[in-house]
Parts: sequence; C-alpha cells; structure tokens
Amino acid sequence: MKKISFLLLFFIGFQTFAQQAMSASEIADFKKKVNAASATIKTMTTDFVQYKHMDFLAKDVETSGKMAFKEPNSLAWQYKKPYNYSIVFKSGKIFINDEGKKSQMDAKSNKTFSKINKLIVGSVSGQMFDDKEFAISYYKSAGFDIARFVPKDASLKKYIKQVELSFDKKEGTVEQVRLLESETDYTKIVFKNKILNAKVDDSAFSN
Amino acid sequence: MQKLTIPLLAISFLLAVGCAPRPKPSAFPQTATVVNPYFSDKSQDYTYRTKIAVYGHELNGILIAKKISDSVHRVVLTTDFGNTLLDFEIGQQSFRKNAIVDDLDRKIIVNTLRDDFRLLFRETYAIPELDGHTGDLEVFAVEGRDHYQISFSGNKLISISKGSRKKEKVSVGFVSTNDKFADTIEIHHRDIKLNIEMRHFAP
Repeated sequence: MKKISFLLLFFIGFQTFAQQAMSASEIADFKKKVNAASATIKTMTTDFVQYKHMDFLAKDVETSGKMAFKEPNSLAWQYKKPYNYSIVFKSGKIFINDEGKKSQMDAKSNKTFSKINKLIVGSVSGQMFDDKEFAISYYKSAGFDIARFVPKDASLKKYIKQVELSFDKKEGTVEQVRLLESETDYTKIVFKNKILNAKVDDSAFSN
Repeated sequence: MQKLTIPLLAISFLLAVGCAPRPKPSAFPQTATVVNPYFSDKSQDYTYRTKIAVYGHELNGILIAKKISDSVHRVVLTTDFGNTLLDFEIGQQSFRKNAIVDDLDRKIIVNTLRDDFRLLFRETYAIPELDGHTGDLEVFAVEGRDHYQISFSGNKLISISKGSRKKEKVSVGFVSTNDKFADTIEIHHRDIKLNIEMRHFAP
C-alpha cells in the first residue's frame, strides 16, 4: 500500500511537473495554430466519454454519447449511456429531450446559462482566447498543449472554478475538457473518433 | 380426582399463560429491529438518475450517494454535465452543507431535502417483537411525535412512510430486484408539492 501511494504521489508529482508554462513566443504560436485550425472547422462530430470525478467516490461516474457542432453555433450533446438525454443549443434556444420528454428554454433569459453555452461552444471550436470573461494561462505537457480558463465573473465562478482545454499538439483541436469545481473534484470530457468538416445534417440539431 | 386434576391443570396452565405480562410496545424495551439495506454498503457508490418535481418546476440530474462513515452519508446532486447542484453530508443527528447553488439555497428546500435524505438513508428502526413473522408485513415505529410505517413484501423492504399519529407526511417507495440496492425509488410528500423519482444506473 505504501509503495502504491508513493508511486501515486510520484506520478501525480510528475504529472504536475510535466505541465510547464509556455513562453510568450510559444503562446503566440499555439494561439496561431488553434485559430488556424478552428477557422477551418465548419462542422465536427465526435464520440465523447464524460467522467465525473469526486474524491470520495470509489469510481468516476461515467456517461457517454455523441456530440455534433455546426457553424456558427449549433451544438448537440447526446448522452446514450447509461441513459438517453440530449441537449441542443441552437439560435439562442436550448432544446432538451429527456428519455422522450421534450422541453425548451430561452438561453438568453438565463445569463449564467448563456455564459456556459458560450463556453461550451467556445471550447469545442477552440475560439475562446479573446474571451474577456476569463483569465487565460497556457501550459504544455508531453501529450497536449493546455489552456486554462479561470472565470472572472463571480456568479460563473461559483459553478466553474476553472476550465482546462487540452489540445492535440499537431492538429490544434480540443481533445479533452476538464471543468474543475474544487481542488479535487472535476468533470473530464474526452473526445474520441472526431470527424471534422463532414456534412452534418440539420436533423442532428433537432431532438 | 384425576377427572378434576386434568381440567384444573389445564385451567391453571391457561391462567398462567393468560396472566403472563405481555410486553406493551410503549412500556417495555423494544425487541426487534427492521433494516433498510439499500444504502448501507460503504464500498458502494449509489448512482441514480433523478428527477425532482417541485411546484411545477422540474430539476433533472444525477444523484450520487455514499456511506462515508458508520453514521454519515454523503449525497451529491449534479446536472447531466457534471456540475454540482448540491453536496450534503447527512447523519441522523448531523448535517453539513458542503455546497449548494444559489437557486436552491433556500432554508425550506435545504431542510426538506435534508429530512428526505435522512429518511432515505436511515438503516434501522426499533419495533415491537415480530413473533418470527416473515414475508409480507407492515410494522410501526414510534419515536416521540414521529410515526413510521415500514412495509415489506416477500421479506423485501418496499416502503417507509413518516408522519404524525394522525396523518402521513412523506413516503418513500422502493423497488428492488436484489437485496443490495433499490432499482427505483419514489419520494412523495403529502403536505407540499414535492416528488422525487430516482432510477438506479451503473456508470
């Protein structure tokens, strides 16, 4: 047990150590790469796995499904496992289908929700470096380029302490999103089987 | 003589039995315990898709519960995206509010949910002796002003309701296909428009 904890500590320590702050020129290069990549993104479909991590739990709570994005700001999240739930952000509205039960609401009427919406769309498309709502810092690890967003707005900060986006070093597209709620608890979303700029039918955004 | 002895013996036996003090539930120590097993395993994360309906509003999310010590459960309600809506540590005698979003942070909501979760997680009730009865069963426990009615079907706990002597205030219904956790749980309030539906899922 001692050995394991030591190894874990070492691993965690190593991980932290392995995330180095980018230099000013690296930041400029990174932004350029991501902006160039996101400028070419018209559509995106991907599978995702979401892990809700809380320190007191034995296992992360894992849910998974598909995501579709289409310019300028249509976004559909579809959870398929272990239950069916989809949420579509489209033309300032939010459409929800909860195992067949449908509802909708106005995203604009809810300020916090519209900020979260902007954040989600931004994190998927990578276009959020000019966002005035966040203080942004940049890091690099062996596998990823990492951008950390800390909300400036107090009401948003209550819900999200920090958002961490991990980008593919070559492609400049988002591979992982991590929303931190406290020092130990976070939600991590990992994208898999990403397809860029294939034709995405409008029906993908109706639930 | 013998003719008389037998009836006399029989009568005295009956008398002896008849006069033996029968335990009254209120006057004597209670002798049996019934158990709610559905949140009792410390190694389990109990995860439920949960719908809370309150006065026409509906709140959906994931409820995660875990027994973190002999007397305390931690319960967290999150949105489907994983954002925490509330995070409580609840014992029968203790309560700690780790986190709650502003929209839910009203005394009446917090206290009602706290009491509902207490009822949900409570493991044992002392009741009058059951005479070895098994199977379908309804038992009653009285603690001060609180009256509990606990129902079993085929030895499985199916409901617990709590109220005053005269009327029920809240009931929790369980459906379980195993004896370890409940597959579905429904909490209904009689005095306020609040219902909670929970469906177990294995993440």
